[in-house]
Amino acid sequence: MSSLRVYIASRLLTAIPMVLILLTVVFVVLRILPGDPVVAIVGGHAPPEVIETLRRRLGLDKPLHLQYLDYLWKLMRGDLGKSLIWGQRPVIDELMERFPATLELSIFSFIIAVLIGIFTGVKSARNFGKPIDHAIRVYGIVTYALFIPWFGMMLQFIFGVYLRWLPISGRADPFMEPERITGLYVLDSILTLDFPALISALRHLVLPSITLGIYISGIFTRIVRSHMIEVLRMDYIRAARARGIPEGRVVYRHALKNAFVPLLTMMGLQFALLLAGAVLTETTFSWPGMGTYLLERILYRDFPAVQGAIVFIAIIIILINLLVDITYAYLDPRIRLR
Amino acid sequence: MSPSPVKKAYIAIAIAILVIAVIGGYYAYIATRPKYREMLVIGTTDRITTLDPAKAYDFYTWEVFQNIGEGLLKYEPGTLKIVPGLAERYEVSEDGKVYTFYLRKGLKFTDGTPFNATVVKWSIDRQFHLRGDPSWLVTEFVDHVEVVDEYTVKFYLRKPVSYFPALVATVPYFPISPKAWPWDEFKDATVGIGPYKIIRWERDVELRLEANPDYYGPKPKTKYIVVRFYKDAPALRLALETGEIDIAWRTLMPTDYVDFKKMSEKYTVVEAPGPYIRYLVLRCNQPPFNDVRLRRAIAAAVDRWRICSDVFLNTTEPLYSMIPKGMWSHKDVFLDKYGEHNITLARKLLTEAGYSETNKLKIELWYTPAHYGPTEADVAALIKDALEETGMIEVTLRSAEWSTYVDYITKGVMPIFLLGWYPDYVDPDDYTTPFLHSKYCWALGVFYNNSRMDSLLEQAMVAPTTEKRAALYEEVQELMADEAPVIPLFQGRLIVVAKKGVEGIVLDATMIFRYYLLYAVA
Amino acid sequence: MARFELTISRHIARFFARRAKWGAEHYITATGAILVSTIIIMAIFAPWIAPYDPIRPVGDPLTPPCREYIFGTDSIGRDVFSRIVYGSRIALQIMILAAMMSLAVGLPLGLISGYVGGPLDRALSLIMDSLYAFPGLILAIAIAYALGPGVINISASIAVIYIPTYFRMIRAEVLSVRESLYVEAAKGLGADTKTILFKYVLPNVLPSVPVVFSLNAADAILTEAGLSFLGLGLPAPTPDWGFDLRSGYLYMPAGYWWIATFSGLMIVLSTLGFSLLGEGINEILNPRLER
Repeated sequence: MSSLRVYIASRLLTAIPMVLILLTVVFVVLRILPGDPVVAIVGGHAPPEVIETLRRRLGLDKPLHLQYLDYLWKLMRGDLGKSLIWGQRPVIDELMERFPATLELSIFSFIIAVLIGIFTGVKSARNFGKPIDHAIRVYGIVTYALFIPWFGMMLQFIFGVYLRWLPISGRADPFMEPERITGLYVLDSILTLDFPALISALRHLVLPSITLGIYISGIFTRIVRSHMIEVLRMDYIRAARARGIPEGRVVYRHALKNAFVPLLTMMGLQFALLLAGAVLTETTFSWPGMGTYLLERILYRDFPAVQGAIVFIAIIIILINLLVDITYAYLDPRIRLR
Repeated sequence: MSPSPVKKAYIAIAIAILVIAVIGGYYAYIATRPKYREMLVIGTTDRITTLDPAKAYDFYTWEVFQNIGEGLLKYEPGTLKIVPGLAERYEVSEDGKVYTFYLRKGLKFTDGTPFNATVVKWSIDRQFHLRGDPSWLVTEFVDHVEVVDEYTVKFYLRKPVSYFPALVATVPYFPISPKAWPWDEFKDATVGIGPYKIIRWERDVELRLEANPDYYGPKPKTKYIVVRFYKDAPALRLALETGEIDIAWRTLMPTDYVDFKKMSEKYTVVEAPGPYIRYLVLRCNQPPFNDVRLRRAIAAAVDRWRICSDVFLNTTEPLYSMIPKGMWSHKDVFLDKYGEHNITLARKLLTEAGYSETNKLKIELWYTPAHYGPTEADVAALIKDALEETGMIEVTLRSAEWSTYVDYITKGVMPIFLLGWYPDYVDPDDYTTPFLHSKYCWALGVFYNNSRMDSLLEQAMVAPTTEKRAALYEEVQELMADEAPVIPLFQGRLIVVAKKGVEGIVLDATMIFRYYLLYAVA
Repeated sequence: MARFELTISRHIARFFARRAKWGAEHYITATGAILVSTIIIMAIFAPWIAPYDPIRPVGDPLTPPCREYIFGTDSIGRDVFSRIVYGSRIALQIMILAAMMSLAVGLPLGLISGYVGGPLDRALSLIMDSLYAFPGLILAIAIAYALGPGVINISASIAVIYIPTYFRMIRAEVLSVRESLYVEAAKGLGADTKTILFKYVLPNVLPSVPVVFSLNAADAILTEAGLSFLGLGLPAPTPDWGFDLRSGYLYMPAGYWWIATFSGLMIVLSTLGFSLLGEGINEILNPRLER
């Protein structure tokens, strides 16, 4: 087990500089911003004292390297700064308010993507070379090209406008939001036994998570397919079949277990894609998550909020990657020894 | 054997009591059953910016304040008549420079702070102190405020403007609770003293209002008003069609309004000419538009009808003066002077200025893509098309999102750009001085300087009678058309779409959407 | 004369015979190639294919597809079909520019890093890994916002996303080639680093480039459309698919479906074309040992 610990330690060591690099990149990129962020906030004809006070409060009067150190120091203490506009709430609070929405969307999209991936991947592998296999392989490529806003809009119009089966925006109907415990509506409504809220939340989740889920699923299809093809040829599978175990169990119980590990790794790598896709999905479905937060704040020139949001995303990504790597190492000892 | 008379009497009484009980019960039931629906939901694509009267200078946030707060004076709904608000009455001094307000007694804000003259003074002083965007409406006109006693307050003005009552009715003059807002900085706070109070606000998601039990005036018929914020017109439209909201207010696409008007059995569409105007601003202190001939050429070449019909499907109408139609003293001066889409005149002016088909006037026309709605790019494209029809102008379209746009305006970066104007106070002065007076028009990127114009405007501000003022404003408009530092394009209409059964929608020239008048029969 | 004809017919026969032996990957590549070439032709011959000027209003607003305007007109009467055709120019321009920029930075960095190794390699790899892990679109949004609109700026924002991919791929190839015999031999013969890189390493690395380029292209189109859709793209009235999708969407509830549908479809088809092409070529060049 010590090799695992060594592995974890070594991964942590690489994770920290990665976070630092991303933080620096964010810092640099956002300071190339044209125009004076201070003037943009207070307006053109504010008296100079007000401008100076704000500039000092934002720390924008210090030289660049001091600002950078200040930025890092604050981050270490979890202080992502205060939003510039309306009431100067701490950015971290605003992000924590929006994060559950994105998380919930991501989880459901992910579940859909994995389910589709497994089902199609297995079907494809079992029917290797046959037309259904080719069709599914094409599916795997096509899904990536389904431009999310367009795909989402088409779904909105078919199911929302013409059929009126499903809602096209928001997370729940007015006044039907569950009491906020975690911020994940489905979970909260189950915990508070609020079934109308549960139904409302689920109905609102359908279209966005299908849009994002299908978009991501292509990669899973391919991974599952290629691993299943390999695994299904292996001896122990032939042995299991010879023992008379029904084909269904052979495939789903014995074979799939082995495809699971690479699937897990892919999960980590796809998370970044998921978040990127989430930005477009949230915009299309007016989903109040971090993606829409980022865009709103960019348009309002709320520079600490934009910075804070990107930093938050960067840290999450690195954390997820770290977790995935460690889990992978735990499940597959060969990795640690590299 | 028939019952004895006594028994008969008992039976009669019993029946009588039963009947009375039933009838009484029925009426009691009717009386306590609400007459009106308890809650109405309004949908909008607007946003609240900052819930601070010292900072907020946008249409929607002012609308919220008009419903949760009140000024010393206010407008009577449906009219432009100014009536007492938080002040029972007022007096004006002989020279028109001192206004004494006698405040209503015994009122308090929703956080318990008592309303009195000190609070009024504090609120005005805070405008002076913080110098936020709307503060000029106070600082330009008021010199200082004096507390006479607990319920009497005097405003000393810098000049005797005749429309001061109209200013007092605007949001920057609203008394606010010193406990809720800090002296030294801008902050969002939800305390008020008006017909509704805010019980919940989730920024960009929802605003929940409840009838304020402490309000001194008539109680709103609808106990709860919920405002839901939608991302764009399709989301808003769908919300109305699925019944998620009862009222859709600002802003659907022109195509949506056309559709709803057709569905008259299910929806009520209330339309009123709005005093909000759209126009082109020309930067008058730098080339190329320091040359008045070029400004006139643009004024001649624009095609307002096309914009109104193609982009807005006639939910807007062409405008030929900065003072909108419906406001007194309005004159179609630009139409009189240039005609409409007068390419011949435009070409003549351009040739005089030295341009031709081989030597084209090259300009950058700026617009902002979201602030005035998603149709803005189309408006800009049609203007470009109209100007290029002269064959002597080459237009490059440029855009900037709103905060950058505002920055560029005051820095004089843009030679010609699109802008809009919602009146702060309803008076021709608000449609002229900000754009035409040299002291103020730089803030709108006009940089125009004409001493005759300045003097006309100043006289009109203080002239004692409406007739005298009207005559002055007519002169102002003539001069404006001749010099064309700004070119009015079109005037918007206010449109509310509501489910059938929603009543109390009053749209007037103040553009204030009063939630406290809304109701729907249960 | 007869021999010439025979050669031709033999070639034709061989062409069809080869087709018969085509596997799925060939069909995929072919479909991709057809889509891609259609778009390239559209872009190059736009002035001849498009019936109208894409920037000027030419008809009544919001007319449905008809004989005069095959894809209908948009909100101010511009021909949607012409805008779609010219939109391909913008899409290709940005895509090529972005891909070139990515390659120009990622290729040399990967070469040097992989070959030189040591702390430089570790540092660069770390930086690239960090960037690679970060969601591309979000990075592009931040950069596009910082730089402002414009073809070059948008291309730069997209280019940054793909630099790590080129870097990693090139570096991996370099690492595998570095230890091979012929490189050792060259070193033994006294060749300097530069010669080794250019004459030996680079030629082996290049075959992988087209595949990445193609997938990069697909990604670039999606990212550019995404940026335009979010309002961070090129200014109006430039015919841009992402922009038209966004503005067309607003008219859909009222029944005017053609603006959004066709622009969106073009985005999907072009991304699909490049993806198929890339995947197909990848399969052909590096066939997976599946049998």
